[in-house]
Amino acid sequence: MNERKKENGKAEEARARAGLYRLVAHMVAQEPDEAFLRELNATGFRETVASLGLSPPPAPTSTEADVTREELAVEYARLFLLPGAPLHPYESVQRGEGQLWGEATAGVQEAYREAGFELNPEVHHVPDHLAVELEFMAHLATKEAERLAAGSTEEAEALQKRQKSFLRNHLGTWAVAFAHTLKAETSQRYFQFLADLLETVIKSDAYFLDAPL
Amino acid sequence: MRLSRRDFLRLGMATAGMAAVPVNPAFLLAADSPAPVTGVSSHTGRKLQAVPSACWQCVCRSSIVGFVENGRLVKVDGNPNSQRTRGRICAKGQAAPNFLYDPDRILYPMRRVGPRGSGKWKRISWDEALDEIAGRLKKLRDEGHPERFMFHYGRMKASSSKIIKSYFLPAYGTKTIGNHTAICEGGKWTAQELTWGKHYDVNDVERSKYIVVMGSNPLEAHTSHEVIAQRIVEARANGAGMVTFDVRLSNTAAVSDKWYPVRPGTDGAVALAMAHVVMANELYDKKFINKWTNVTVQELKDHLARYTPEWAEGISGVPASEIRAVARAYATKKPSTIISYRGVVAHYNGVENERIIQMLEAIAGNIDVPGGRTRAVGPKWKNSYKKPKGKVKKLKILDGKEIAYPTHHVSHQVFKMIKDGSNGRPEVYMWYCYQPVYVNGEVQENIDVLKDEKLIPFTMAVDVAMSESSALADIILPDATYLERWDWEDMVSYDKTPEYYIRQPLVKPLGEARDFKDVCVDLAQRIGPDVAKWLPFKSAKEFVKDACEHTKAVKAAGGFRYMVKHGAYVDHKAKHPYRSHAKKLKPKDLQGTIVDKKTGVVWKGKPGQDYTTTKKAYKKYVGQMIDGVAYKGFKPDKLNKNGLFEIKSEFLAKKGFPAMPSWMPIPEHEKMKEDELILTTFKVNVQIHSRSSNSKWLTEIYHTNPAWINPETAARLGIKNKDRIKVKSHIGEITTKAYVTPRVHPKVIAISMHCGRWEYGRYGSGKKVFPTVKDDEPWWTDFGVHPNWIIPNAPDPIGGQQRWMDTVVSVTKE
Ligand code: SF4
Repeated sequence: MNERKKENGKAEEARARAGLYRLVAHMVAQEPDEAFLRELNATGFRETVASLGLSPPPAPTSTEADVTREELAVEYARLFLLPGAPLHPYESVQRGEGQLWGEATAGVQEAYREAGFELNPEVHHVPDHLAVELEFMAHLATKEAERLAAGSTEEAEALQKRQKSFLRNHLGTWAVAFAHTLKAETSQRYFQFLADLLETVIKSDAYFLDAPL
Repeated sequence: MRLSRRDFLRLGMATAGMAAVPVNPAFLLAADSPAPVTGVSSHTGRKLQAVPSACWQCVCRSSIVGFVENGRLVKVDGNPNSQRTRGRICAKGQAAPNFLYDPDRILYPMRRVGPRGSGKWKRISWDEALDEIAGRLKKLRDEGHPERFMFHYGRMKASSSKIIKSYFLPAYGTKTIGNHTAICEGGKWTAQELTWGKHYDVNDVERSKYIVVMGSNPLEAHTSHEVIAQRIVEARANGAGMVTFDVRLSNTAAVSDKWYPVRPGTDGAVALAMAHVVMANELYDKKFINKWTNVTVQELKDHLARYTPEWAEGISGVPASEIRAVARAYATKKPSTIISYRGVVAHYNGVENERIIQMLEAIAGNIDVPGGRTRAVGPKWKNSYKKPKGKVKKLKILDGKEIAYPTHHVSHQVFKMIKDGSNGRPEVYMWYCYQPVYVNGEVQENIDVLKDEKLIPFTMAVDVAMSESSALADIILPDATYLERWDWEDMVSYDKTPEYYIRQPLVKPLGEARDFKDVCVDLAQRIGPDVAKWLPFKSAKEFVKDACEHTKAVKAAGGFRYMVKHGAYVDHKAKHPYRSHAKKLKPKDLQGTIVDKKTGVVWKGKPGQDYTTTKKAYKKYVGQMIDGVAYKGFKPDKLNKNGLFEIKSEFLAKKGFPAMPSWMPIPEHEKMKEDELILTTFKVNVQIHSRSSNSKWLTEIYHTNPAWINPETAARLGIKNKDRIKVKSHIGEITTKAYVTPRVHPKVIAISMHCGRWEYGRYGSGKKVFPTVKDDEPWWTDFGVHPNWIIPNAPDPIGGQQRWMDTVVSVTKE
């Protein structure tokens, strides 16, 4: 009974981590819309964030509402989509290969394959796009939670090992520096929040998984 | 900030209720079956696929093989199945991964926010982009003004041209279609149409014993660059002579027996004098002149009598004795040929210069003979789809003003015509594989016109990178690079044997980039069924497949499957003969034809119709009567010309130009001051004109373009090597660096293309921040200066070719 409870607790932990990775992946993948901005504020998430000492995300209706959705979209494009800011959201570029689809990308793709994943042909991304790497962690954590709930401790452990190694070999090698660059590049609160959140999630999870960066 | 485990999980749990964070669509899915494998990389040990395809970076369009590891292109090489290229490619072709994986590529449709050109953008979905574009196009069409949609392309060939120009645009109803030939070699083609009809010449250098290069640099850049370059090298190895006339010691000139620095725009004078020597010394091909041209030996002798080598020396600066020697060698070391290009034609007298060279090749007996100036042979692809029928309309803004025979349009005048407005203006201006701001002269005017929302209400770019031009678009559609798309290809071969080849995606398009051909299919559907019905194919892939199954030779070889596997097919059975003009027509060829009395043209006109005055009669040309015999002759194009090799041109006489190829002085050069120089531009071997500066490998090799000045000239002007100098024309001034070198004519200042960019990513422009490249930092800080700011957009009066090499400038030390 106690064992079972422990497993359940662990499953909940994995789900919580998956939720964070999924959230950051979502924020990196696209421009925010009204519904999402409301979500960031309405569900108690805002309070949790504040209570942990992180500067909270802008509210859709707050004073920062003078930053319109369009301005957020423009900032998103400036930061992540167009030449200008040093924020190409790709591991190969951030790790100094100077181009997309580098050696790092090949490694990332191999990690996906080994874990039984491949790029969804309907969604257009290079494998080492930050959002995809974050989503990969979310997938692995979700699976881990499922395995734990099903009582397959060994499989769950293997999945956590995968997360650890992906964090150490890929995502963790560049995401924190990327977050710092983002913070320095943008003056919009939404993206500063994203930078903080990204940094917090990566650092905290590295600590959680005992995978020093 | 790092959170404690407890706080970290607390934050995570707080995300639980977020409905707006979808789990789907996910970027990753459970894996499907693995990709097919053709080998293993000796380098990385990874599984490797070899995919045959075709380059696109220059118009040569070489066959290539891409090596792909798990969806990643790792290397591009030549395709050994290609007889045309023999498996060779140049440096630009090898830089392919750089273009594909340029981190500054545009991967999503973008819409401008704020004033045009303000640099603010947001991403939009393809649906949003296409709905907006289709809406605007449909409105123009419904209002009866499809011509107010102008489509302007830079490079669009083979099946790309077919789908876009022969299906999509006519189905829509616009013929306001601009090209870029007039800034390239349009004048050369006009001259050929005036002499031997359908344009394109292939110098059969592989078999030549003596090669004269005039204003061309085939070892570094040419319409068939690596195809002709390797054949020149072979001819040289086999002992062929070669001399080069050029204002600059190019690398082609450098490997020639002799380099003759020639005053800009005077190649025609040298060629006239060579013709004089050939005629005066009875070295001409009497048979060819008598039978195939429209002049007599005596007429030629009389006409050329005045053009002595001494006269030419006075004009060109090339010693008369040298002209004599070259003319003699050229006329006696047979076979021989003249390679002529932009240095000859990008002048006020460009069409005339090329016409003179055509005459010279004719009297020397080099026309379509082995080792001579031969007719091009390319493959004839066939698709099964019916061509759109229906009315098309055109704005008369494509041909500039008062050009005698703008047979390839006058693209560099388009913005001037739009500014002028008297022939109407496009409401929607879209460009494709084209850099209108950067590649034309008068850059500032190009920017001003394109930026002006009153002159052009809506602008759209189909581009792979943020260029100087796409920065001025209202919507940018991210194009697939040539490494991510389908085409059948058709560049001319150098062996008189048609070579069929295809381009297939080496990898899937990155991000949301899409092949614009597929986008056209989509747009047609959104505009309406009466447009969509003319594009019955679903995609470019289907179009290519259809052609593979409907082109006889390809189908016989194995159709689409064969082409996908081998990339290229050479139809040896269809080897064309030399001297095809001399082929006698058979009775079956003559069925349904009439003979035009005045010209002797055999054509498919209606009885009583006059060939010369019937609209587009040349399209019905079948052959030419000579001494009562019907021959294939020289097939005309664009003009209702007869089937002879016309040395004397009534077409030109009618427009007030000399009928016989004659020396045409360049007005500005006649009245130049002693201290002034002539600005010349050129290409280098590792850059494509305007679409390769985002390649790190290439730009690392070539990124700056100091102005070449002769030491004599520099001393006179008080300029030392590396000095900052001002170069001033009547339209503007640039400041650049001097490169003092005897490799350039004393009257010339030479500045290459490719440099001085202010967009096109970090490598080319230097302006955009770029992350570091470990152990291999971009080290260069000098990005050169673009010469086009000070070169006016000025047409040759006969063909409309941009006069790149005519600008008179003054040069001073800064
Ligand atoms: S010559 Fe070079 S750039 Fe041109 S098509 Fe061939 S490989 Fe490509």
